Amino acid sequence: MSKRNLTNILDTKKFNIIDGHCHIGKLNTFNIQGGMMDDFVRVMDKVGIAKAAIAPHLGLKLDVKRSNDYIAECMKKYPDRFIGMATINPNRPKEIIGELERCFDNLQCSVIKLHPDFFKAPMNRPDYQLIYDFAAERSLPILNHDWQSPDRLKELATIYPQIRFIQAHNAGNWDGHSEDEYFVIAKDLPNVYVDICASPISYKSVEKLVKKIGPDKIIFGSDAPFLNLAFGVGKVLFANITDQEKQMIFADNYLNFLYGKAI
Amino acid sequence: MTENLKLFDSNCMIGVGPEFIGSSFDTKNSLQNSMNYYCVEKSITYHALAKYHNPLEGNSLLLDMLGADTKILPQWVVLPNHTGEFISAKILVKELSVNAIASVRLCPKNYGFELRQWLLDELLSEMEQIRIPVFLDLDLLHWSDSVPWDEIRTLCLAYPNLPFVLCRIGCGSNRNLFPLLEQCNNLFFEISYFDANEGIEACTKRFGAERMLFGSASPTYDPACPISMLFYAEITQQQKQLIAGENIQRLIEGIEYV
Repeated sequence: MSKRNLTNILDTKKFNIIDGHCHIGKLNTFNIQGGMMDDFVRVMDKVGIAKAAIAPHLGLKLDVKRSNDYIAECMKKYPDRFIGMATINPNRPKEIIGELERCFDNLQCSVIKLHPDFFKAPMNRPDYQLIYDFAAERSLPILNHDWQSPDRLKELATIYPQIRFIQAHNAGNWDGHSEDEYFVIAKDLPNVYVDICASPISYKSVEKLVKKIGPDKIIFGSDAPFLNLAFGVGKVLFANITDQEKQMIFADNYLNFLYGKAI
Repeated sequence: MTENLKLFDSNCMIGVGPEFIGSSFDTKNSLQNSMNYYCVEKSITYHALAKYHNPLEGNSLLLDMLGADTKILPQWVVLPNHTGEFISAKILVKELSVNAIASVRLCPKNYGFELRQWLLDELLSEMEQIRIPVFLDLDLLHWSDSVPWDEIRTLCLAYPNLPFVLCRIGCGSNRNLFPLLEQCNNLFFEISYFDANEGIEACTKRFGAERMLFGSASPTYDPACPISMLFYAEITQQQKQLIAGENIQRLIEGIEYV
């Protein structure tokens, strides 16, 4: 048996990689070295990431207008490197529609990003209905940090087949044996995906997940620069799955999420 | 282009672990297979029972499982012996020497004792005599878990000739870790969970590459992540190799068994 080689295993050039779950900018919780757009693109280039879907940390719990403006700046300076994820403040329901219209009509955003935990705005609030209706009307995808209820996600994904949904984080640290209802929903419903953005990452979690739900509903995400981009990409590169399956996880599935091939 | 790294895993476990996250290496063979899969050449390994059940039993099992091996080096989990449930520090030093133990591990959270000088002094004074690396396993499961920074600082300053290795320090640590590295030259940390954005680069720039050790925390966590992070770090190949294996090798070679 030939000896395995790190340089070959970790070669990202053979893949088109879209990071479907990124942030950008500084954060109060802990120190982030670099993390602004120029540094972030440098890291993307180093690791071999073609595009990153970004939602600034600022927009996860505070000033979404300033955050969404920064997304537009990033996309203007680095065309083709960023996918804009519009952040919405659920604690200001009167501003939701106006900000969504601004993001999708003027700022070229492509995804709605929700973070109910940071905003301390649980998903059972009726104001979220405004967001679902807007997304449904325009067939937009939504990435949520946590839908907080598998039943709710299942219901939404059934009512709104034109919206694509990501349940973030659960899949990245799956232990390989416990049941996760989000996996069942992702497997059953064509418009639901899970991303493998997580901290920490359990042993061989990606290949266990592929065995559990197949490769076609798993989306690569690193959470960078909240976390380290290269740390995130390694779990896919090392996984004992085919290169074709890796390519699905690295970009193909994300493009389906983005453009709605499954519908 | 980054060349291949010679990886020496400073944080590896054998035996049946809790498995609420990850897996177990039930046999030496399964550990070796994993090392081969992840291109790891050497490892320091402790036994799951030594960490989660009883150090004496687990440490003994470890030696039985590993045998004489130049690629997988044994690490013992140790306890202060005020209760008489372990062995005295002086006897421990002899046992460590006889069995060529490559480092020791303190697991204060799992064994319910404080990381305080007044209860660890006898043990750590003896460990300092032989300069054996002491891994501090605080059972950190998430980057937001609290770390007893002040206690760690006190111990580092009290035993300046004793290398301490912090395990599973996460991305949220920089604001506490950096000043501690600044003040304590005998403090090191393994990078299995150091998934901070450009964290390796920042540490290398400020403190040199000598303070970080490659570790995988396998088979609980995925070695792929720290390997990939180190591989793509924007530091020199020489600095990467220090972190990949030379730093832990140097610490082991610094042990002064009589």
